[in-house]
Amino acid sequence: MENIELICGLKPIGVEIPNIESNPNFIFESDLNFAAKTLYDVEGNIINVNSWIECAHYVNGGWSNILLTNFQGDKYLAIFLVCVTALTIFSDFYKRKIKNN
Amino acid sequence: MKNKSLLIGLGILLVIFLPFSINNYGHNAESFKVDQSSVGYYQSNTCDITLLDVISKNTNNENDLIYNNNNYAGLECYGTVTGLDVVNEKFIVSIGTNSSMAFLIQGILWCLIILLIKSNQKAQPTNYLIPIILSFLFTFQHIAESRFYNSSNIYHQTEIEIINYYLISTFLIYFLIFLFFENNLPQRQERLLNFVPYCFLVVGTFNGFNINFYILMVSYFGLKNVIEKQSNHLFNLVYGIFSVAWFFTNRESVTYFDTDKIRGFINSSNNPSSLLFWILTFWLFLNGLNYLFKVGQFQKTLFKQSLLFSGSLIVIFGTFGSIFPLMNFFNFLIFGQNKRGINTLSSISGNTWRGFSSSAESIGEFFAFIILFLFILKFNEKNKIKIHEILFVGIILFGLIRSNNFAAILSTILLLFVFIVYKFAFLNKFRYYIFFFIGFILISGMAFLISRFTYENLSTELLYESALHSNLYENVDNYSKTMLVDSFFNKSNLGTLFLIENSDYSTSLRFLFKSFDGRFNIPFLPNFVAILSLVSVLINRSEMWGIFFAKYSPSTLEAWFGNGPLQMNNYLEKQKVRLDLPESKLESLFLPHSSIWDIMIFFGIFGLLIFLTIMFYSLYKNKKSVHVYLLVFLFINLLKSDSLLYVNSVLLLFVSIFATYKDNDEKKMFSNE
Repeated sequence: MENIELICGLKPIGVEIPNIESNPNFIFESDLNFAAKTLYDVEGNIINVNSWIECAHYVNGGWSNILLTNFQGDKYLAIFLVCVTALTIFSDFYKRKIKNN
Repeated sequence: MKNKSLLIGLGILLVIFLPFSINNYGHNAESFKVDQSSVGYYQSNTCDITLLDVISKNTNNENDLIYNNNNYAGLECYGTVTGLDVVNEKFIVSIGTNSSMAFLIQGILWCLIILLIKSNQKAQPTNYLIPIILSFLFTFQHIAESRFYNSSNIYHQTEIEIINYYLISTFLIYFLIFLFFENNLPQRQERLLNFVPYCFLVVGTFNGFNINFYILMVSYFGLKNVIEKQSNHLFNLVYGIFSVAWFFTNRESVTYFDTDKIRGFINSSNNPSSLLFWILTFWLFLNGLNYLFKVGQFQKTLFKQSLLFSGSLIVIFGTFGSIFPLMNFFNFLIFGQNKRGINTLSSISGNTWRGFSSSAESIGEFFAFIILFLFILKFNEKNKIKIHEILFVGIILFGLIRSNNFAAILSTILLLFVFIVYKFAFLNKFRYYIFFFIGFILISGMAFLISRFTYENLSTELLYESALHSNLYENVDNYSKTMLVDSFFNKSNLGTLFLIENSDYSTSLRFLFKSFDGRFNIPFLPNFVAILSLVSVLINRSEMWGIFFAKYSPSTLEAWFGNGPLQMNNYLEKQKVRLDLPESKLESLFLPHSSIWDIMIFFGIFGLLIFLTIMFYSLYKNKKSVHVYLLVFLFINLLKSDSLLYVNSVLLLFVSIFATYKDNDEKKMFSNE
């Protein structure tokens, strides 16, 4: 349940996860108040869920909101920012040096 | 100067739109018209189609499109479509707006806007200590409020290690922002407060973050105040005592508040780390205000311009945002709204329309404040009104009417009336008669109200509402509970109702009942619970305040010192209640609907007393200042609104206090000359 709430948000009051396995014709009803979420499986397949129940069902089945890709966005952003920060500090010291001279 | 502004404008446009037009991977998939047939295509080509591509193919799309932001998407998906869904015949296009990237972009954007303010001093040498300390502090929030950040950013990690790129990026972006402040704010600090009205337009809450740009700005001045040893020692001592008390209050770390419409200025978690973060931040924030108070200059014309531009632009952007979904999407990102603007032109519950703002009440107050300020300025300084100003006022009046903030409209009219009576000599002669007449009407009105509803009903209305929303009789349904509560109140048998054994209703309701029951009665004075109840009926807050007392259950320490700055978790989660409301409303966020109660939750009775003392002292000391009307206006409205939960409203209140003091100082200066 902790994982479900982490991915799908807090469980709405009065909502229970139905036993869908026993009902192959189950249709998830969209919830307008639920901000649609994108879930991924281990093979990179994508599903968009539109209600807390639907989200909880897929998370139970092993889907996650984390897509395991080779693109490490956080790493590239960090490298970019290290460069920008270094440049900023360097230019500041350089300006100060010129001023002092 | 013109060239500089032009360059900044171009920079702003680039920063906003460039990320939505380029694809990070380079292999752009083709975009199509959004309809039933293309849903599958968009769902299987996520992160490959940019928003601008979608727009270009859907300019004449007759389908109902909504653009949602998906903060959880990775960096590679920024500005691209991450999903398409059909809900109730509406096509919801999800656009990737990764929180870390948005943080960088919004930071650049709002820093560029600061450059538009004229600087009037030469730059000082950079002190790296302030940016470093503040960057550590604000990065610490991502660990302290990990539950909030974990759900809003795919990269979020809390481990302190060299390969935690998330924390490194966050720290560096904060560092660059504070470095920018260090290099650019001191030159502008004297004029800054005159631009506070723009805080209602550029709200400044970072996307996917629980922090606001203005908190960063004011905290910067706060640390400067401390480092330059200008901080008030008495204030620091009192704040220190409060801080110690807060650490002994209830910390149920399992409770969590998703921040909703007050994002950016509220503590989402209830653990010691998040408490520590907000104690330090709020301390710096107050120190920053203290610093700005000392160095700031109030320039009426500039402040008026800011009010007019900001007020009218809010209405215009709010209106367009409610008509055009794309504008609604961009409003959220560019201006850093706490919550997406309303997406319809029609009013919602209570006939209110919040438009651009997250709260109709707070924006209504702002619009009314503008009208009051302009009126006072016009008649006090014989200021000529220009044609474009009339147009702006018309737009703002439209916004005020749509916000349907009746209290703000009524208090504006009342204060304008008082102002006119004092201002014009021919009326001044009769002012005692006029005020006697008004007083007579008010007392007669109250007498009529009391005779109509009976004193007994009015004096117990608050207790009645509170009992209905409390968890008394938790084993019966709402209807039966109402009947039972009704019967006790009809028989004036409150003792039996509230003394039900084992009932676990809130401590504040218990206190109200005991006070009403006579133990603390002062002879010849009406009971304070009865007065509170009467006031709540008069300002139409009996139900909301009833809910507040049903939910507010502090321990003795929490009652005196509060739960800590911006800490609402205990109020929202600690006391289990069963609200007597339709099921559809049970999930809604019920804020106290009075800034007085907000202060009591955060800072307790002691904190409230300090706040009231400051307010009344400011009113008394500056009673001759013309701006005192603004302060009275805000104070009246704070009684019935949660405005102090929004950083822009807090700043507006601060500027009003600041203006009254500066006005007084000016008068003293002229009289000495």
